[in-house]
Amino acid sequence: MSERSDLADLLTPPGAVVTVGAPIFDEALAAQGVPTVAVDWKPPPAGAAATVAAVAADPRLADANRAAVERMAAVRPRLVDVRQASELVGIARRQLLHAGPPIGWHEASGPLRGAIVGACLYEGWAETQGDAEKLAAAGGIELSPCHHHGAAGPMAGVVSPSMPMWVLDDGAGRTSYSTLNEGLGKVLRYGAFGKEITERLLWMELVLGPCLAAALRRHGPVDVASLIASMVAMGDEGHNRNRAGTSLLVRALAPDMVRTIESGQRRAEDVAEVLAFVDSNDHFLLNVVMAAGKLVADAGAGVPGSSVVVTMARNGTEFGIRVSGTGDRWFTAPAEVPDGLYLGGYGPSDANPDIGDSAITETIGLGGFAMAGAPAIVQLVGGEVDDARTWTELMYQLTVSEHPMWTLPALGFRGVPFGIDALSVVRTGVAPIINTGMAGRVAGTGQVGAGLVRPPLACFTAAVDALAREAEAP
Amino acid sequence: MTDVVRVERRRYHDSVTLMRAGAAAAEAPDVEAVIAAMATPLNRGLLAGAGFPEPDAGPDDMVIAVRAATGAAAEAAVAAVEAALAARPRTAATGARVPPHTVEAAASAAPDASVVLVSVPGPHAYVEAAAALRSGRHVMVFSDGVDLDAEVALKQEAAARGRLVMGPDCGTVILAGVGLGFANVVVPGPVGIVAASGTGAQQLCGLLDGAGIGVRHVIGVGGRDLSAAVGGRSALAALAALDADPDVGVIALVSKPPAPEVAAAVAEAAAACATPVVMALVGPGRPTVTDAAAEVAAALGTSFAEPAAWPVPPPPAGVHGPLLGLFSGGTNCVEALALVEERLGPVCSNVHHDPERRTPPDSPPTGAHVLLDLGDDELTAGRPHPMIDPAAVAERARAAADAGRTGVVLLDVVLGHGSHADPAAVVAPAVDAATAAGAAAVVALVGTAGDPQGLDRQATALAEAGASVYRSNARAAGHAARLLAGSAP
Amino acid sequence: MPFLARTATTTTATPGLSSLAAGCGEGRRPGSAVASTLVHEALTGPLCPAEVVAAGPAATYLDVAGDLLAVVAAGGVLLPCAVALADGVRPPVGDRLAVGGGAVWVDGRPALVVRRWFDPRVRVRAVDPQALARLVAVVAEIPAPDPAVPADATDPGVLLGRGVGLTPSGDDLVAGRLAALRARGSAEAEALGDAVRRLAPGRTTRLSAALLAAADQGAVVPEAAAVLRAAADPAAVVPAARRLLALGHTSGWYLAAGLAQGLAAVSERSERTMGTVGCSARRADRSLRAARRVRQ
Repeated sequence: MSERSDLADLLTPPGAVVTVGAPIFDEALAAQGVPTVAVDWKPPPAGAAATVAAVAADPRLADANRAAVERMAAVRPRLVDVRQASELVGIARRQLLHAGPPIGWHEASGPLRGAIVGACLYEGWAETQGDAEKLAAAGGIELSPCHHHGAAGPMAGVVSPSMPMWVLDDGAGRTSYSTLNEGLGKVLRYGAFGKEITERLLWMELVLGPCLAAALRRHGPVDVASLIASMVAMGDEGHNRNRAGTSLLVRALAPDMVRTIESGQRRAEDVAEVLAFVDSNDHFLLNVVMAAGKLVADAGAGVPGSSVVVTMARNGTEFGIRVSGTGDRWFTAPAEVPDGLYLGGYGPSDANPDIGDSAITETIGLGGFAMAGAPAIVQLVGGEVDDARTWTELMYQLTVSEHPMWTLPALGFRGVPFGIDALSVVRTGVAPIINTGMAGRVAGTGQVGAGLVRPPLACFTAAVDALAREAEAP
Repeated sequence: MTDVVRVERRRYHDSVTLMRAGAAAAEAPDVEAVIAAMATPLNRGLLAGAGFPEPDAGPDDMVIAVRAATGAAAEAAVAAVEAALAARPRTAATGARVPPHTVEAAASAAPDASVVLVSVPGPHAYVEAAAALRSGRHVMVFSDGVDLDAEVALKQEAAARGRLVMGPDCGTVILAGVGLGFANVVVPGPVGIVAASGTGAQQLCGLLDGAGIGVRHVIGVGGRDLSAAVGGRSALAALAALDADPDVGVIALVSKPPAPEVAAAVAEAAAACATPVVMALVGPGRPTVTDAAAEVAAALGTSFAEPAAWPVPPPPAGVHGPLLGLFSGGTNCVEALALVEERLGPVCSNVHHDPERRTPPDSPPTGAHVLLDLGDDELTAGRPHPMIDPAAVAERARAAADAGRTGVVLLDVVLGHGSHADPAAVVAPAVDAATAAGAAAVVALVGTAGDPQGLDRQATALAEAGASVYRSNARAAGHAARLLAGSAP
Repeated sequence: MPFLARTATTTTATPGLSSLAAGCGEGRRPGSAVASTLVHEALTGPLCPAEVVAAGPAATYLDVAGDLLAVVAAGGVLLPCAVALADGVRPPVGDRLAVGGGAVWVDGRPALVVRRWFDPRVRVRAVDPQALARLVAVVAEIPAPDPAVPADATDPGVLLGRGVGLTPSGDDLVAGRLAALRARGSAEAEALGDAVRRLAPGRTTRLSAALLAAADQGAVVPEAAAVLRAAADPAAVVPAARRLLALGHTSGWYLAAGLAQGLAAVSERSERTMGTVGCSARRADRSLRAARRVRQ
C-alpha cells in the first residue's frame, strides 16, 4: 500500500478556494483568511442545461477538441499562386459564390444583391441592373457559399468565373482560395455595380492578377503563417487591420515583381500600377489571411465529438457556424447589426446586418481575438485602448488553447486565443467578439463604418444541441 | 556525460520563452547544459559550438539539447523543458483583469485553490463540478437536486483523476481546520470525520470540542454517497485519505445507516485502516452521536465528560400536550425521532422512515407527537434554510404556543460559519411565548466554543428565555421524552 | 513601525466569557484572525495583559505571561506562534493590550477575534532518498549565506545565538534540524530538544527562542512544513525547497539546511512504525458496551 495518498493535498489548508454559484460562503472563507476567486457565473440559455451537461459528459470531448486544435495549429498556409476562379473553385457556368451560409436571391440583403448584379454585369450575363435582377430572381443564377468551394470572401464575397483568386496551400495537398481585394469606396463587395466597378474588375483580371501570379511563381511560396506571426506583433489583427501585413507581402514580392519586368514578362507601367494600387489599399492582405484561415480551420473539421468551431460566416441576412463534430451542418440565426463608429454622416439605420466570411479570422484567433495586439483598432471601432486588451483576455475563456506561433507581445508573448469551444460559449453566454467593417444597407452605398459584432448565441445552442444528440455517455 | 537531442518538428516558441525553459531545466543537479532553441542557422552554430551533434532540423523546428551526468537525468531535463513550455503563465504580464466566467478560468487564476465550491442550481452542477475535476482540483458540491447519473459520473471521473467529489448535497467540509460551507470553528486535533450528514458531523464536532478533543478534518461526501447506486465511492476514498494522514488518530464516520452492500464495503475498508474507525450510524435502535463522541474519546484514551447543559426546572404543573420537534439539522431530527419513539411509542414526522407515519409538515394528526425537519427540500423551496434564518422555526414554535396545544417544544440551534449571526435572538421570544403558555422548551445547541455566535452567550440567552439547553442532541431529546413520560429529569 | 503601540502593563477587568468569542456589539467590529494551535491556551484562557517586545514591518511580537505571541499582518510569514490577520483587517492600534477569551484586546475591546485555528506541527511518515538528495542539492547550489555559520555545523552549543538577524542563522539551522527530527519522531530529537531548552534562553532573541520551542514540537512555518511533507515526494520537494529558500534574508536557507540535516539523520536508520496519536490497535469493532458505559 503506498504511503502517499493521492488525496494528501486535500488535507492541508487550501491556499484559496474557487467558488461558483451563490456567494454565500465567500465571506466565511475570507474571515478565515482564505481568499476566494468567484466565478462570474450565469446559467446557460433556458432549455440548454441538459444538452450542455450531455456534451460535457461525453468522454470523447477533451481528446476530440485537443485533436481538432492540434490539427489546426499544425497548418502552415503558403501563398503559391493567382489563378482564375473558373480553374479553381468548381464553379459552374452561371454560378456565383457568396459569403456566409446558403441563401437565395429573395432573402438576400442589399449589399449581396448589388454584388450579384455587379458580377452579372462584369461577366456579361446581363446588360443592365434590371436584367440582372430579373435573371437572378428567376433562378437563372445558381448561388453557392464560398465555404462549399474551398474559398472565403469578404463582405458580399461574390466570386464569378472570370475573377482572379489567390491560391494557398498547406504544403500537404489541401488548398484554399480568395478573390483579390478591390480597395475601399464603391466596390463590388459592398454591393456597388456599374461601369466603374466593372472596369476595375477587368483591370484586376487582366493586370493585377497576372502580375501577382508572375511574381509569385517566380518567388516561390510565401510563408503566410510567419507573415501572420510578424504582423500581429506589429499592430495588425488580420481582420480590420492589415496594414503591416500588406506591406510585408509587398516587400517579399517586390524583387520578383521587378524581375518580371526585366524578363519582359510584364510591363513596367503595369507593375507600377499594381504597386500603387496595393499601396492605396490597407486591406489588401485581408483576403489572403481569410484564405489562410480557411485552410487552418478546415483542418480541424470532422473530429467526432469535438465542439470546436471551424466556421463562422455571414451572408448579410443570417449568421452561420459549423462545428468540428457535426460535419457540414450549418447552424444559423438572424445576423446582428454591428455597433461602432460611423463614417461621414452615416448612422445606425444605414448599416446592413453583419456580412462576410471574414469572421474566419476570429475562428483562427485573429481579428477580434487578437485585439490586444492592435490597440489602434479602437480608433476605428470605438472604445478605449484597455478595451482592446480586455476583449482578448475574455476570449481566452472561450478557447481550447493558444496558437503556438502567433503571439502577442502586449500579453507577454502569449499565443492568441485559439480553438473556439462552442460548449464554452453556451456555458458562459459569452459570444466570440468580431471586429468588422459595416456595409450600407442600400446596395452600392459602400462602407458606412466599422465596429464590433457578436454571433447570435442561438447558433451555438443549436450546435451544442446537435452534439448532445450524438454524445456518448460516460 | 550523456547527450540527448530532441527535435520537435514545426513547433514554434519565441526565444525568450525557450531560454527561460532551458534555464529552468538546467538548474537540476545532474544537468550540465541545456539548449532549447529554434534550429535557425545561428542556433545550429551554437549547438555545434557546445559540442552537440548536428540536429536533423530546420528553422521551423524546435530543438532541445541536454548534456547530463546520466541518461535518466537528461531525459528528466528534456521533460522539464517540455513542462515549462506547456506551463506558460496564463495571466497577462500587466494590466486589466477580466472576471472568470468559467471554473477553468478561475482555477487558472488561482493555482493555490485545491478546492472548488460549487453551489449553482442542481441541473447545472455537473458541468461545473466536472470542470473543477478537469482543472485538477477537488470539488465540494453544495448543490442538491443533482441527478444520480451525474453524481456517479462525477465520482468515477474523480477516482480516475485522483481527486475527490464532496457531495452533492454536501453542506459541511473542514480541511485542516478551514471550514467550507456550514462549519464550526474547530481546533485541529487528532480526529477526522467522514460525513454523509453535515449536521451530524457538526454535532460531533461540538461534542468533541466540549470534551477538549479537536477535529482536524470533516470530509463531506453527500447524502447519497452511501446508497447502493453510488456505492460509497467518496466515503471510501475519504477513509483512505484520513487513514494516510499521520495527524489523524481516530476516524469517525457519520451517516444514516447505509445500504447493506455498501455497509459491508465500508466495514471492510474500516477494518483495513491502521487508524481506528468509529461508526456513528444514526437511526432507530442505534447508538447516538453522543455515544459516538464518547467512543472517539475512548479510542484516544482521553476522558469524555457529560456534555454541558443549562437545564431549567420543568413546569410545576407538569406538561400537558404532545411534543413538537422543530429541527434545522436533518440528522438531529432523525436522532431525536429514534430516541423519542423508544420512550414514547410512535411519533409522526415529515421525514419518518415509515411511510405510514410520514405526515405533511402543516397538518399533523391532532394530539400526536410530531418532529419536523425544517431543512427538508420541500420546506426550503424558495425560503432560506433554517440554519441561515431560524425565523421559520420561531414562527412555528410561537404558533404552537399560541394555540396552546403543545406540551413540549424541542428544537435545535446550529452555530458556526454560515449560520445566522444570532439565532438565540430569533428563537428566544418564541421560547418565551411557549413557556408562558405553560409548555416546556428544550433546545439542542450544536456548536463549538470558537463559533462566531458565542456558544455560552447563545446558551445563556436561550436558558434565560426558559429553555433547557443541552449541547447533546440526544440528551435534549431524552429530556423532552422524560418530561412527556412524566418522570423527573 | 510597530502597528501595535507599546503599552504599560495594565490589567483590564475580565469581561464575562459569554461575551468574548462573539465580539462585543458596541463600537467597531473586531477583525478576523487565524491563530496557531500552539497559542490556543494563551488566546482562549482568561484575559492576560500583553507587552510589545519587538516590532517589524509585518509583525508585532507580544509577551503574554512569559510566552511569545506574534501578531502577523495578512500575507506575512505564518509563524508557529502567530495570530495572523485575515486579509483586509487593519492592524489594531492603541494602548492596553491583552490576550484571552479567543481574542486580542486593545483598550478593553476585542480587536481581533480568532475565526480559524491552524496546526503548525508536521508529522512525516517516510523519507524518499531521492527527495532528500534533491533537497540537499538545492541547498548546496547556494553557498552558506552567513560565513559564521557553515551548513554542516550541528553543535547547538556553538550555533545558538550565532549569526545576525531577529532569528540568528545558527538558530535557524538548529530549528530546522530539530523540527525534522521531531516530525519523524526520532529519538535524537529528545537530546537536541533538551540542549536547546537549556542553552537558548540566555543566548538568543525572544522570538528565536520561541521558534526553537515550536520546532521542538515539530512546528514550523508553512514553507518549511511543505518541504517536510514533500520528503516522500521527489517531484514536489524542489519547488517547495525553492520557496523556502526565498524566505527572509538567510532564514530560509538555514531552515532548509537544518531540515536536510534532520531528515538525513533519520533516514539512515531503519524505519520504525510510528503509532498515530492515542493508540495503534484497530478498534473498528469496538463494542457498544464501552459507549453505553459513558452514557448515563
